[in-house]
Amino acid sequence: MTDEFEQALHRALRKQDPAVDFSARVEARLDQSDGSPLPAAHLDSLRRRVLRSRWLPAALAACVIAGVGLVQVRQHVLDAARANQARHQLLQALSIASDNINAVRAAVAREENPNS
Amino acid sequence: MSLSAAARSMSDPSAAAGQETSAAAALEGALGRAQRGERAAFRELIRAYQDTVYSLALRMLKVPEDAEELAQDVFVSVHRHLGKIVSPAHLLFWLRRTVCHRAIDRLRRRPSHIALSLDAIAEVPLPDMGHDPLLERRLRDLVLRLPPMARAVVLLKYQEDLDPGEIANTLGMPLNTVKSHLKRSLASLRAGCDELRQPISATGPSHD
Repeated sequence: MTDEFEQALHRALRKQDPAVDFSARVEARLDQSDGSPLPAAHLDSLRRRVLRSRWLPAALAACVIAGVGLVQVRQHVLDAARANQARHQLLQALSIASDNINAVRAAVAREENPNS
Repeated sequence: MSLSAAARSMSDPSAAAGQETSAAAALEGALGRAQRGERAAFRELIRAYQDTVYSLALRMLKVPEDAEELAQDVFVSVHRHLGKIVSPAHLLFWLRRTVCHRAIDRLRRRPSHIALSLDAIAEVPLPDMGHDPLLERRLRDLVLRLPPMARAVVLLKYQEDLDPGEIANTLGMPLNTVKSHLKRSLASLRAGCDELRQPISATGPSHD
């Protein structure tokens, strides 16, 4: 229910037109910017581009993380191969040293007991 | 019937049904042509809705230059998003919502407005009043002193003739908040008008 006060408020707040060349000024501003409206399809592609642009940094970060991981795995494999090679060389050196020690011990034994 | 009158009749429930149909058809046609890039059709839409957008901006911001700039911003923005508008009613909703929100944003960045404390104002009896230009001017001044959100609610109610549900939808606020804003704003405006109607002697002489 409206009373006299509200009717006065309605009258006080009746709509008012802007200056006569308002639409011309809006058009001038449209001309200054890119004046063509964005069709719905364009808006969809824009939305897709925005979404894609959100995914791009995530994809780049994932690539960097995967790359670092691959480098670390390769380094680990190389280290393991080097360790294995060093182990083989150490066993070979111990084997040679053992043979030499046995030969020296046999020679010493022969010197101590020439008749045996 | 001009598109401007057509746009007004769309929000006027008392308009004849035939006029509403032709108004809606005219606006629908202009919207479709504007969406296809026809500048003249967009000009028709501006003329149809410029009074709504400009009046809301003016009554929110007070300064005509600021209001015109804001109204231009809103129409430039709607031009870029025409592809998303599905009907003239949607366009009107979009325009009202955008101009209100942008005006409120500007007022928040420019906190120099004078806001009345609505809680401090009690309900006052309805004054007896007729058609009075001074009273209407006083009412417009009082509306400008309301806090931004309450001002937007009052304008959508008394300038745009929206019901509280539509106002809540437009401003994105709960229905009860809209009703509360309306009740307290009306009390504030009535109190302000009551002061205007007090005899000069009652306010006491000035001591300059």
